[in-house]
Amino acid sequence: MADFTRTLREISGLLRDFLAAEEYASRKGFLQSVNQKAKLTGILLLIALAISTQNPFYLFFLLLFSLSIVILSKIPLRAYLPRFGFIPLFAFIIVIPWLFLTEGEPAFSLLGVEITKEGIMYVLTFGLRVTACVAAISLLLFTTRVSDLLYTLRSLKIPEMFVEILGITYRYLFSLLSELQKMLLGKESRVVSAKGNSWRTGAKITANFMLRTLSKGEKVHKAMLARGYSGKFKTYPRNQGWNANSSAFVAIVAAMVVLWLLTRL
Amino acid sequence: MASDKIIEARNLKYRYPDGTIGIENVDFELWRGERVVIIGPNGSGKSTLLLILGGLISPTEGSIKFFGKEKIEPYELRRKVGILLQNPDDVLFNPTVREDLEFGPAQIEMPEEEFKQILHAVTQMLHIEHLLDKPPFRLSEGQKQKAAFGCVLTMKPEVLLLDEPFSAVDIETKLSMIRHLNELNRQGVTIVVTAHDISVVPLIADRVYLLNKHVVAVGKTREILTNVELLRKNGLDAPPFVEFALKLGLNPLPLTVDEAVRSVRKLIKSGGKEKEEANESD
Repeated sequence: MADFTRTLREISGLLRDFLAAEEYASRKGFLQSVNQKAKLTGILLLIALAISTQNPFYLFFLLLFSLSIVILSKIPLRAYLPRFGFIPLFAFIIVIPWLFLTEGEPAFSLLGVEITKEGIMYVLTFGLRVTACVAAISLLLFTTRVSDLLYTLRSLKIPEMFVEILGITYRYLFSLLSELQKMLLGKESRVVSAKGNSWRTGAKITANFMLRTLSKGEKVHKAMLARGYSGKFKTYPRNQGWNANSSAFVAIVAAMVVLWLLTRL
Repeated sequence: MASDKIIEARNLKYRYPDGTIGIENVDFELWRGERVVIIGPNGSGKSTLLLILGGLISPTEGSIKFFGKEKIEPYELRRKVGILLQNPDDVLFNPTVREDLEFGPAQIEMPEEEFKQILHAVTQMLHIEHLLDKPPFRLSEGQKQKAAFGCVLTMKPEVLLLDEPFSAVDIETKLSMIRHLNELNRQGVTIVVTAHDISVVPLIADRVYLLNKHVVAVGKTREILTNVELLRKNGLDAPPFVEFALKLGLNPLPLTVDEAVRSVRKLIKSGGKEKEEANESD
């Protein structure tokens, strides 16, 4: 249970760091300087391409494309890779049974169970697809401030309600993860051994966290009201201008679309 | 001091949902250009009163007028009255300090150019330029308090309501915040601060409200802070220099270091005669 508490605290810390990765969004890199609308539309298009292709080579190429953009955008790979790496790993774990369940031409047998070529291809494609999608969305999150993202979504005429819910969820999630971290640290600081810990303690922590969530939510809402929040997140527009990097990005995305079409032929 | 009344509250009462009384029978007045400190022990209702004065919660009973108006548009109130909540962790809810500083001005639709100028001035004043792109949870408590203070200042309010702003900061940060507040007051900003640390009050107050669920006393800073019996009765200590001067038998009682030094010098020069005269006249 003590290990579980520590793991939970570390996970919440990682998630909070991931959400707070905006320090890279203010760096002077390639994708940071691209017009926000072009960036958002382009990345969503890349995700659509990744979802709709069945070609693992194309997915691999998409992944390489994302990694090269990461480097051009001055985001250290050691910061980028760990922050999204666990999601593809989780996807691979989920899809592994399909190695044994997919019918087709046998490739080899493992512990007496036949693994088919189709099964390998399915697992590979699925894993690569998830990795490429997460890599693309991480690109967006690493190079865009959330306030810019909300502004861009609004300017792209995404329904106001959706944008507001996204904004509120993001802000509360951030505060609540900090709260969870403090709570778990507080518990750890008063525990000398795992003995005496139980799921009952865990249930108490969960219940307390829910209460603190409500209290924290109320306080953050008050702080938002105190600064003029009136039910709509307003932001200053940034980087809506068009520059050479924006044109280059659009050209690259267009090339990816052409490549996608070629793989369909 | 200009003569217009900014806040006029009458017979305020606040009852929490569980039935606990936060404050009751509270009358409060705030005049333009004033520096008011609300003192009181823990649980005396200081924060509750400040939230009501900031228009963030409505009193259960009583009435409150802002700028002479019975009803004020939230937009107008927010533009004019800035409130700093007690815990900076509640104030800093954005991923970076820069976005937190920007949040308020963007909500009240301050022109971007004006905001940029204010941001520059505020970050320089508070020495937090290097923290702008940092996530708030990576800051020290003092840095968080400064950043939270900056969040209110960037909104350029006419009235500043600050809930225990010095409670979690070191002495250097505390003194620098007091300096900035007094400078803002000289520029015309009206200031209300809640505090339970009496030692800072003489540095920042023209008038003091002593609160203990209801207003126990209200008056000039010297008047309230030298009433040792009243303070003790309400769970507060008198400022250290008042205690010191009482033991030495100084008259008048000093509230600050400078006043204490002057009084002691005077006492030394007079060779203690002044003390005897003061005692006789008492």
